[in-house]
Amino acid sequence: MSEIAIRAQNVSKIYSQGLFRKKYKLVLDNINLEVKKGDRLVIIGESGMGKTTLARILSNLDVPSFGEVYWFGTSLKDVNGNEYKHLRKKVQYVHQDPYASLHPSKTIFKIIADPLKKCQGLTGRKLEEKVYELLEMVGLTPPDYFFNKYPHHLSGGGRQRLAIARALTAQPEILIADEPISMIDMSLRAAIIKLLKDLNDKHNITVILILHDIGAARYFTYEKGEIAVLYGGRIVEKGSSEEVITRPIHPYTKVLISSSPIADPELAKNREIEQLRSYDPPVRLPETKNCPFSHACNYFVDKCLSVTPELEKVNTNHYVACHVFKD
Amino acid sequence: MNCLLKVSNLKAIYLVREGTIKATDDVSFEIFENTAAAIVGESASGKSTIIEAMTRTLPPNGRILSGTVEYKGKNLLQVKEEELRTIRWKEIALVPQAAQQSLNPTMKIIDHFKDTIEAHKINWSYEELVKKASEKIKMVRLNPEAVLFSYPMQLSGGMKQRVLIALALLLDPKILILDEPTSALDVLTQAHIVQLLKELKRKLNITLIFVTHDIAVAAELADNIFVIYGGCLVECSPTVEIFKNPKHPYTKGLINSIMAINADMSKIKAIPGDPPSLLNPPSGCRFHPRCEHVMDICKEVRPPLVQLSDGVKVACHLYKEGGYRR
Repeated sequence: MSEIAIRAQNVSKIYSQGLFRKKYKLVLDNINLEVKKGDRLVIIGESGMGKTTLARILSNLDVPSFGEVYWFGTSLKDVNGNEYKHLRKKVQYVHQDPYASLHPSKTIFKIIADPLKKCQGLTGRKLEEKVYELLEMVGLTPPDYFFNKYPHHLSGGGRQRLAIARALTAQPEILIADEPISMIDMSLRAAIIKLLKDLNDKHNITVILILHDIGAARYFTYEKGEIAVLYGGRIVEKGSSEEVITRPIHPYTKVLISSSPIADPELAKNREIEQLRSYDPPVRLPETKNCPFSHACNYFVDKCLSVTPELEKVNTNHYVACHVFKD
Repeated sequence: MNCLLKVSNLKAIYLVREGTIKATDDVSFEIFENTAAAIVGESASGKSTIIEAMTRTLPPNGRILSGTVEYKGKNLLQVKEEELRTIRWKEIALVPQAAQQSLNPTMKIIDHFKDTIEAHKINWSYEELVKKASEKIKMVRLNPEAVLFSYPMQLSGGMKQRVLIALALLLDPKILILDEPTSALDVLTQAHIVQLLKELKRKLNITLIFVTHDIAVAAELADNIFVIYGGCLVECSPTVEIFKNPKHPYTKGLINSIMAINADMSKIKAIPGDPPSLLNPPSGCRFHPRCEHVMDICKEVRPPLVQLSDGVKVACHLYKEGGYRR
C-alpha cells in the first residue's frame, strides 16, 4: 500500500446568502475522497456542482463547514504553524484563468524567480539555472528566449504552462488544478493535459484535476488514476477511468457521457440524447435528504426523494450512489 | 444544390493602436440551400469577423476592405442600409455571441419580441405577437407561459440561448447565422442546443451558418465545414470528408487533438507551437511555423485555395488542382 497523499473526510460546505446571511445553501455534502501518492484524480462536474469549492477546500484555500482534510496524514484542523509552513509548500494550486492569474507587469523570469527565492532560497547562478530548468520542464523552450518577455507575449496555452511552472517552484508533491484547459484554445488543450500527465509520470507528483470535459478526463486517466463525478455537491460515481466511462451506472454519468461531443460525424448525426426533466443545478439546503439528481432523473422512485444515497461498491474500484441502479 | 449565399474575396481588418489586425484575409466560400455550414477556428482566428463582415455588424473599429457577399443577385456589402433592413431578420437572422449578455436585463422577454417587430415596421396586434412568439418559444422546447413574461435574469444560460434562437426565428428567416451557439454552456445544455438546432433545420428547412471553436460540435451539426486559421480559409469540405480524410496539416492536427470520449486515447496529439498573432501574421502560409511538412515555398508564397475533388478545397502547397503534389 502506498501512502495516502490527500484525504477528505466527511467534508461539507454550507454557504450563507441573502441580506442577513440567514439563507443557507449546501454546496458540498459529505465528501469522502482519498488519493494515493503519485496517483491521478479527475473530479468531473458541470458548473454549479461545487467542484471549484471542493478544489479550494482540498488545497486549504477555503475551510470546510464540517469534516476534515488530511495532507499526508496530518489533519489541517490541528496542525501547528511551523508544520503547516512545511506542508503548505507541498500542495500547490493552479488557477482556472491564466489571463488573470499572472502578474502582467512582471517578466516571466521574475514570475518564476520570486517564489523560488522565497521557497528555496536560491540566488544568482543557481536561481537562473532553476528557472531555466522549470521553464524547460513545462515546455516553454528555449527558456532563455522567454526570460525577459511578459505574460502578454504568450498565448493562453503558454500562460497556463507558466502558471504550472510557477506552482512547481515550491517543489510540490500534490498539484491541484481547477479547469486548467477551459480558457485555452482547442489545439493546445491536449498539450496541457499531456504536460500534467508527464509531471505525474516523471516527477511522481500527485495531480488532482477539476474538469467538465469528460473526454479530457478520460485522456488524463486512461493509463492510471480515478474519475469522480460530482453532482449537486455529492460524489455520485467514482472509479477507474475504464469502469466509469465504459460501464457507467449512475443515470447522470450516463447522460453526461452520451452528451459529450464525439468526433465521428456519422455516429454524431444519428444519436439521440436522453431528455432530462430539468437542466438546472439542484438547490440543496443543509437539512435536505434526497438524491441530488432526483429532480432531473427519469428513473426516480419515492426513496430517491427522501433518502440520500451513499456510495456503494459495485465492482472492484467502482462505486456508485444510486438507489435504482446500484445492482 | 442551390447556392444561396456566395462570399468572395472577403477582407476585413480592425484598426487598433498598434496597427491593423488582419482578421479576415481573402476568404471565399459558398453556402448551399438547406445545409448547415460550420466555420471552425481557434479563438482570435477571425471566425466571428467573417460573419460580422457578412452581416455588416462589425464593431466601430472594423473595416471591410474588399469582397462581395452575394444573396439573391444583390451584393449585401453594397446595398443601402434601408434595403439591408428589409433583408435582415426577415431573410437572414443573426444570433450573436455571448447570448447570456445579449438580452436587455430591464426588459421582459416579450418586449424583446415587440422591439423586433417594431424595428421592422410590422403591424401585429399584441395578441397576435404573443401568439407568434409562443409558437417560436415552443419550437425551442420552452414553456411560453413561463418564459415570455419573465426577465432575462430569471432564466438560465441555456434558456437565454434558446430564447435568442426563438427571437431570431420570429420573422421566419431563410438563413440563420449563429455565433458560437454552444460556448459558455454546460455539456448537457450544449448537447441539448445542438439537438434542437438539428431538429429546427429538419422541420423548418432553414439554412444554418454557425461559428464554433469546437470541431466536435461541427461534426454533429454541420454538412460542410470551413476551417479558418489565422484569418485565412485553409480547408473547406463536407463534414465526413474532414473527419475521414483531412487534407490540410492544420485540419489533421486539429482532428488529432480532439479529446473526444470515443477517440483512441493513445493517438491524441496536440499541434506544437502557438497560434499566430494577426497583428503581424507570418509570411506566406500562416500555418508554416507550426507545420511539419513546411517547405521553402510555404514561407514566401501564400497558397491559393485549390479544388481537389467535388466540394473539397484546400489552401496548401502540398496539393495542386485535382490531387496530391508530392
